[in-house]
Amino acid sequence: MRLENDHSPFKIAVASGKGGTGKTTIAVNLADTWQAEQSVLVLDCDVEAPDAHLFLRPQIQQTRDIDKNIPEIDPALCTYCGQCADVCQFNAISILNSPLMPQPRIMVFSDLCHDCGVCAFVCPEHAIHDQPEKIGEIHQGTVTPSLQFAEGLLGIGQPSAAPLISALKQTIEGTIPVPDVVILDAPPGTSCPVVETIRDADLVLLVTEPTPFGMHDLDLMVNLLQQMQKPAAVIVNRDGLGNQTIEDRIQALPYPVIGRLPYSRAFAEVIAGGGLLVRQNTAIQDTFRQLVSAVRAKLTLEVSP
Amino acid sequence: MKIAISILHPRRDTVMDPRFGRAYHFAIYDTESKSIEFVSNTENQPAHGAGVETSRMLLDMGIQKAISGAFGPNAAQVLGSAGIEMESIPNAAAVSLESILAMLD
Repeated sequence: MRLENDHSPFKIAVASGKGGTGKTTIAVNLADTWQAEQSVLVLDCDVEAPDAHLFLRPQIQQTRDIDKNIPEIDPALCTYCGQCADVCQFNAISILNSPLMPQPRIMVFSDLCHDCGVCAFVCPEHAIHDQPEKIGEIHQGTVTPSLQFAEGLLGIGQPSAAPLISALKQTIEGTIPVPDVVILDAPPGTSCPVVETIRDADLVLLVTEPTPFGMHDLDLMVNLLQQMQKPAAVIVNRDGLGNQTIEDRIQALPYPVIGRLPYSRAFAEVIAGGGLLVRQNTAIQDTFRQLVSAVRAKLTLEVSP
Repeated sequence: MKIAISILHPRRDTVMDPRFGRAYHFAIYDTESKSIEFVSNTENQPAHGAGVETSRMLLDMGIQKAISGAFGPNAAQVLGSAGIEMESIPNAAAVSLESILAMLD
């Protein structure tokens, strides 16, 4: 619940569990429709494979590197006491010792490091210093005066997306003019990057497809949202694809269905061409206008005086 | 020379465990005394960095060579920097410990 005197932008995360259900399709078409009413910022949080830019085609004005700090150990000060290696929960520091080695050696594995800083904190010799390592980039730009855009792009081989998503969300505060609403396009799955994307969202839009796989992963997502106590609503994409069993399961979800997009080859062709559905088809324009109204109504309900 | 061989069960009639960092057990074979010691890999459970910790455990025991199916990048970095010889056996899950010992003799 957000408080009435909270004037920060409303944040809406678009998530799914299963990949390929239409998160980005919903996010970009919702943003394009919404900008007629209010100013919108789209954050593409799927930093391992950002693709919202293909549809929104923003002019990128700013690119900056995002670093994580990894420990750098001063060999002149290190006594190989092993306290840093003992406290590291990710085995990112290892003291190697063998009867056959002339002296111990300390090694740092940057891909295992989560940048928590506890190693430097416990080192009695103050031998550990932060060494920045680039993990990815943030690109910020503009689509129209009322539709702004930012995306994260995780570096190749970088294993942790969450810190980059966290940095991406910090661009909300620096965006001028301040947007009325932020639409966060989440990565697929239900793991740390998704949790990081939706953790401060006011509402989560769950995009699903009526297939057994879609339902299975949606159940995982519902479980996650209930643990996080997040309000949510469901959008059924490729509606008409499933059978009654699946429809019954959709109806039994603990969240309301606030929109449906029909299963359509014509839609797939527009998307494959990098187009926006709402710019091609008046019926779908109405669908998204109704969706904006439904989401805005839902957001109002989530404000507590 | 002590050689560590990743194995599935802690006994002579076992096949190899094709994984190094997450191997269940190791046979530590001493080429001079021809003796075998079985050690359980207590480091095979962490979510991250199993290869690093397994390597560290074997280094502590004074091994000079490791035989497994595959060595992960972190394990290879640790073992390589300590000068430990690594031998990868193709299709290790189907290779018996006895056949490795026969090869070493």
